Amino acid sequence: MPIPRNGDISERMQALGSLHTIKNLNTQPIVIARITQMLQDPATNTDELSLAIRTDQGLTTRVLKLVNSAFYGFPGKIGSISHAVVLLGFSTVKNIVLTASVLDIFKTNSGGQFARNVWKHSLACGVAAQSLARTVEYEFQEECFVAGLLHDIGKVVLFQLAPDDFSRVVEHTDKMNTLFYDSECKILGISHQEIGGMLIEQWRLPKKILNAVSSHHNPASLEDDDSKLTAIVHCADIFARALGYGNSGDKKIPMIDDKAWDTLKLDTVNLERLFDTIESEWEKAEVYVQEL
Amino acid sequence: MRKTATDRITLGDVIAVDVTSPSGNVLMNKGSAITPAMGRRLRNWGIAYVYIEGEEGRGGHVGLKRRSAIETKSELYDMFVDTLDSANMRKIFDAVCNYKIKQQEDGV
Repeated sequence: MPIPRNGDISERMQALGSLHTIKNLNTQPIVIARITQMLQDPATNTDELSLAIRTDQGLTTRVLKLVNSAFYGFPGKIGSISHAVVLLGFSTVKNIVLTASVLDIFKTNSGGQFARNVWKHSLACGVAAQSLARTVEYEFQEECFVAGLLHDIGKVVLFQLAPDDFSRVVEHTDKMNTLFYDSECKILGISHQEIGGMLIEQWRLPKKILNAVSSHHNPASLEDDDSKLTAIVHCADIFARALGYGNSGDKKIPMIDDKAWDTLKLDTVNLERLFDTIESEWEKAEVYVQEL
Repeated sequence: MRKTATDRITLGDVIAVDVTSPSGNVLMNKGSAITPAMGRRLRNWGIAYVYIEGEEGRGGHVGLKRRSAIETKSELYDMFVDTLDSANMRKIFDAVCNYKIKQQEDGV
């Protein structure tokens, strides 16, 4: 059944049966829910956290591979989850676990080449967001990486849940040589940022990450304190596309939001130097690309 | 796998063994394809040689043909064309063009 053109988003998603299906995607392993909960509890200690991660052997292996990669640049070998938690901290390990789990979505669901391209672009957006956050001295740099990584997750969900609608969007995007986002809005009346936002909401990730995913194409719509993270992901998406890392389903660059530019004071940033930093970090992130 | 001097590697060569610093830091992961910036960085780090995927005694594949500055700018222009009314987008466009062209000029 195609997505109805009119009506509010939840009605349209309900009509598609997507909410039900998203729940059934089992995209967030139980371990993530438990870890997120544990991290909110100040009484949680390293042993408890390590144990929670170790309950998933595949996840443990992937996490250890990632923490030992050039991306984290830690001297010497990190041989256990508890060692990683002690050396890298709760927050970093949580984000690595989340990244490894998101990787599973791209890996285990039948997105084919499209999912691989979006993964590569998403990863580049995460790397660009983290580099930009460092440049503008925004404190939640790891959240920027995660939000960048997740910003286009709605495209993969759309591909899986509504392949016919997805094909119509792709066809329109190619024919009109326009943005994938514009085609979604025109053809479906709903976009990947809203679909992605619904998924993030179900995962109960922090609100600032939810806002960044669900508003990365129109950051000016946000007025609260979270707008900086959203602005960073919005700009990082543009930079990753311009630098040609991965493919997000179209060949165009979205228009930058002037408010996001001003919020981040990009007039004071040496963009060429920033691109060099992004490229350097992108090379180190190669391990994530190989994992797919 | 073949041991190759850093100044002999070519664009697209694939690193066969992690490149590490003397203290054990992984600087580049195996499986990474050489880009102009990576070649530049290897030289800056003072890395004399790396292991490249492929058979011993054979030269790597032919280096990728370098694009001209005009080709690069034209390709980027196609991506940016709908946005260049914006002053900020023009700044991004100029910065990306300069960055990409400089990369090509530096080569490996």
